[in-house]
Amino acid sequence: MSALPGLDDCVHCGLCLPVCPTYAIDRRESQNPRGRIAALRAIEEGRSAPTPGLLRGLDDCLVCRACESACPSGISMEGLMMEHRSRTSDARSDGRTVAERWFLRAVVSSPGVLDRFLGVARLGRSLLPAALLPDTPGPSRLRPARAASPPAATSRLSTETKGRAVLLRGCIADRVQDRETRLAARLLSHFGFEVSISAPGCCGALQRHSGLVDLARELSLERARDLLSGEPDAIVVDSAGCGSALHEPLSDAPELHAVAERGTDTPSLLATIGLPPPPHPIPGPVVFAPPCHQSHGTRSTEATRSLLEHITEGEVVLLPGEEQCCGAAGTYFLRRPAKSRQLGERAKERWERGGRVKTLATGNPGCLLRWESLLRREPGVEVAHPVTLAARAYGLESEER
Amino acid sequence: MTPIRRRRRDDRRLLRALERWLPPSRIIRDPGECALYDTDGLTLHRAPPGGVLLLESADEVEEAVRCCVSHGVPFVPRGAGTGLSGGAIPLDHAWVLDLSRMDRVLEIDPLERTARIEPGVVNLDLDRAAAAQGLRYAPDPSSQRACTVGGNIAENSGGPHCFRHGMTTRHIESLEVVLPDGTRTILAAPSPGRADPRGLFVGSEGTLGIAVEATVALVARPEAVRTQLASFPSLAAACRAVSRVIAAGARPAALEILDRLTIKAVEASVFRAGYPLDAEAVLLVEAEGSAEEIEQETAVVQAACEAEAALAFETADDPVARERLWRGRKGAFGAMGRVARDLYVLDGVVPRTRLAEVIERITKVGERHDLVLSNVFHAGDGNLHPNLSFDARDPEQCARVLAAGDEILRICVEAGGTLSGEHGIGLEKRDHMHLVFDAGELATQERLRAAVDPAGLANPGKVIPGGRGCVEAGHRGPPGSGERTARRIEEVLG
Ligand SMILES: Cc1cc2nc3c(=O)[nH]c(=O)nc-3n(C[C@H](O)[C@H](O)[C@H](O)COP(=O)(O)OP(=O)(O)OC[C@H]3O[C@@H](n4cnc5c(N)ncnc54)[C@H](O)[C@@H]3O)c2cc1C
Ligand code: SF4
Ligand code: SF4
Repeated sequence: MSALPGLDDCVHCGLCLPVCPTYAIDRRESQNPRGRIAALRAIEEGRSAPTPGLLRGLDDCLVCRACESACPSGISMEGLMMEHRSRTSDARSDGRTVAERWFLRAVVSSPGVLDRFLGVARLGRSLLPAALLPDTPGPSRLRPARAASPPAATSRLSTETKGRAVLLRGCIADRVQDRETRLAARLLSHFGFEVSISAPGCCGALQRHSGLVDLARELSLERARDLLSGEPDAIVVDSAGCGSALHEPLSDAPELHAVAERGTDTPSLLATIGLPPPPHPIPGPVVFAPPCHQSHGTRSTEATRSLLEHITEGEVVLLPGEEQCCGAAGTYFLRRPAKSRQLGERAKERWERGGRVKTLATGNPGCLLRWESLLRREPGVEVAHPVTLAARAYGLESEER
Repeated sequence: MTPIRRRRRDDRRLLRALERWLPPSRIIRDPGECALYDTDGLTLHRAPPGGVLLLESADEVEEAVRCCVSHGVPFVPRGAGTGLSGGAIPLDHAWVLDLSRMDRVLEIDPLERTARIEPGVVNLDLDRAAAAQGLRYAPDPSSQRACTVGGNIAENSGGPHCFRHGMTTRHIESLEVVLPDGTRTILAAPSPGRADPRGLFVGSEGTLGIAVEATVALVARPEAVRTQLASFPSLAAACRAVSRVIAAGARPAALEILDRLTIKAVEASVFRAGYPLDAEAVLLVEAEGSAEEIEQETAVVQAACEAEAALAFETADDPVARERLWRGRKGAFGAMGRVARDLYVLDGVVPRTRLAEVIERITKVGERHDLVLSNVFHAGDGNLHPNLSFDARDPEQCARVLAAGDEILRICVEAGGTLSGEHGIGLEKRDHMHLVFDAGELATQERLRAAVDPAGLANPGKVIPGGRGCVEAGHRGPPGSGERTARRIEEVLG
C-alpha cells in the first residue's frame, strides 16, 4: 500500500504538544500529534505492529486540528487521520465503530432518514431525564426540518444588490441551527445580498473524519452541484465543521474547487461591506469560543470576532485556552464518551476561569450543543451562534421563531 | 519505606513491584506504545524502553527509582522529549520515568522573586505565571512552548535571551532531587569554601538523579523592549555585524542569525515572520532596558548593520510586532521539516570572532557530503546550530550525516570552541568527549558519576564514553554493574 500522504512532514520537534487536548488529559506519547505520526510511521515501516495502545491513540484523535496551526512543518492531521481511518475502517468491528459508521452512512447522509431518526430521538429525549443522556441535545434542538422560507426582502436597507449568496443548510446543522440559517439569510438580505437557501443535505464533513472518504467525497460533490446551481457569488456556511470541509476539496472536481473558492461565512461576508452601528447592541461582555474548525480549518475567526466586537456594547473576550477542543468534535462524543466528557469539563473550567461570562458565542452545531449542555445549569447564561447575536443587534431576530 | 537491596536485573519483578502502587493506566508496557519513547528531538538514534511510567509526584518518583534500583533496572527521566542530543533515549532498555504530569507551578514569591515548581512545568507556562506578577523566567529555549523546566535543568538549556541573562544554571536557587540510589535530598547554595552541588547537578542530563522540585529565580520584566531585524547580502556580513555590535560595547539581550534556507522554510510555515526572502541572512537583535538605553543601542546596531551593507533594517516596539519577528526564530527548527523528514541540529560553540570563517568551513562540509545544511545560531554566544536535513530511513544518508556531524564538531573544537552550547552531550556527542577532555579528566568524571550512581542505573550510556549502552533496537546491553565501589553521595556533594 502506498505511503500515507504527508506522513513525512513531521520532524519530531514537539512544538505541537501543548495544544493537543488529548495530550493535556493523558500526557502519553500515543496521545499527542508527534506520537500519532510516529505511530503511523512505525506501523508503516514495519517497526511496530498496530498494537492496541497505538490504535487507541490514533482512534482518540479528535481531528480538532489544533496541531496543524502549531506545527511549523505544516502537517495535516486531518489528512492523515482520514486516510488512516479509511484504510483500517473495514477491519474494525467494535460496537462503537460499527454504530458510528451506521449512523454516518445510513442516517446522516439522507435527510429523510435523519428526520425520522431525530423524531425518535426527540421522543426519547422528552421521556428520559437529562441525567441519563448528559451529552444529548435538548428536544428543542431536535426539531424536524421546516420549509426553508427565503427571507422577505422588505427590510432591505438598500436596493442595490451586493451579490448573490446561497446558504448551506447541511444535515445535522440543519436541525441544530436551522433558525440560525434563517437569521443569517435575514441579515444578509437586510444588508443587500440576494439570498437563497440550499436544499437540506449532508456535506460529508463527519464522514471524512471517520474515514468514510468515498462517501464523504460523493456527498461533498452532491452538495457542491446543488450549491452552485444558482450561480452564487458567495457560498455561505455558518457551521464551522461543514465550512472547513468544503474549504478543502477531496478531489480535483472543478465543482469542489469552485465551492472552496466562493466559500465564506456570514461574518466574513458582512465584513466585506462594512456595517452601520447596530440599533440594539448586545449588552456585553460576550465570550467567543471559536470552533476548532474555524480556528484551524477555515481560519476565519478574525471576522467573527470583529463582528462580535462591532455589535457588542462592552467587551468581547476570547475563551481562555481557546485552541483546546470542547470535546464534542463531530461524532467523537458518541465514539469516545468518557474522554469527550472530560474535555467538556475542562472547557467549562476555562469558561469559569475566563470570568463566567454570561453570553457565549460559538458558530458550529456540535459546539453549540456541547456548550448548551455544559452551561445548562448556570443561571442566566445564553449560548448563541454569532449570527443570532448579530440578527438581534440589528433588530431582525424577533421576526424568526 | 522498604530498604533497598540490589539484585540482578529483573524487569518482570520490577513490574510486579510497580503494580502494587501504580494504577495500570500509568504503566505503559504495550510494545507499540513503548516504542514511541525510543527517540527524542534527535531522531538519528532509537532505542525502545523496557517500560514507561507516568509519574505524578515527587514521592512517586522516589518510589519508582527505589523499585528500579532494587530490581537492577536502569531508568531515564523524561520531560517533553524535545532534547536534541538524545538524552532521553532509553539505552539498555531502561525504563522511562515520564514527568510531564508533574506540571504545577507551586508558588510564586514576588518579593523574593522566585518560583517553586514541579519539574514537568513547561518553560513558557512558568514564564506566563511569572508574568502575572510582573516577573519573568529569563531562559527561553526556542522549544519553550513545549520543553519542561526539568529538561532545561538537566541540559542547562539556553535560549536567545541567555546572551544577557545567562543559561539555566544561573537561575536555579535550589533543587530537590531523587538521587540514583533512591534517596531524596535538597541541593542549595553551599557554605563558603565548598563546591556548589547545584552546579554539579544542572547539566547532568539525568545521570546524577532526577529533579523533583525546583526553586528558580525570576527577574523583573524590562521597562521597554525593542526587536530589530536586519537583512544581509551574505552570512559572513551578518556575522561581522555582530562582531561590530559587541566591539562597540553594546550588550543586547539577544543576537540571533538565520540563513537563507532557514528563512525560506520559516516563511513557508505558520511561523512566517515576514523575513525578506531575498536576503542571505537575517540578524535579530533585541534591546531591553530604559527608553534611553534602547535608543543608544539601536543607534549602535544600526550603524554596525549599515557598515556591513545591510539590505534592510526594521524595528518593532509593540508586543505583537515583536512577537511576529521572534516567531520565525522560534519555529525555525520545526520548519525545516519542510525540507526533509529528519533534522540533525548540531550545537557547537566557537569564539565569536571566528564565526564567519567557521561557518564557511562548515558549509563546505555539507557540500562535500552532499547534504542540505542550514544555519541558525545564537551569534552573541558563538553558539552555532548547523542543521542537517536527511531521511533517517536511509542508512547511507545517516552515515553521511554522522560523518559530517563529526567533522563539524572537530572544526568547532579546532577553532578553539567546544562540543555543546546548550543541547548537552547525551548520546550524540558522548564519543566526542575525548576531543575536549583528556583521559584523566574523563576518569575523574566517571569516578564522580560512580560515586553518585554506584549501580550505574541512571540514564546509562550517556555523556561519558566507555562503550556502555546499545543503540540498536532489540539488542540487550550489559546489565548495569552493581559492583562498583560506592563512595557516599554526601561525601561527593557535601
Ligand atoms: C524546536 C526545538 C528548539 C530547541 N531550542 C533550544 C534552545 O534554543 N536552547 C536549548 O538549550 N535547547 C533547545 N532545544 C533542546 C531542548 O528543547 C532542550 O534541551 C530542553 O531543555 C529539553 O527539555 P525536555 O523537557 O524536552 O527534556 P527531555 O528531552 O525529555 O530530556 C532531556 C534530558 O533531560 C533529562 N531530564 C528530563 N527531566 C529531568 C528531570 N526532572 N531531572 C533530571 N533529568 C531530567 C532527560 O533524561 C534527558 O537526558 C530545542 C529543541 C527543539 C526540538
Ligand atoms: S509540531 Fe509538527 S513537526 Fe513538530 S512534532 Fe508536532 S507534528 Fe511533528
Ligand atoms: S487533531 Fe487535535 S487531538 Fe488530534 S493530534 Fe491534533 S491536536 Fe491532538
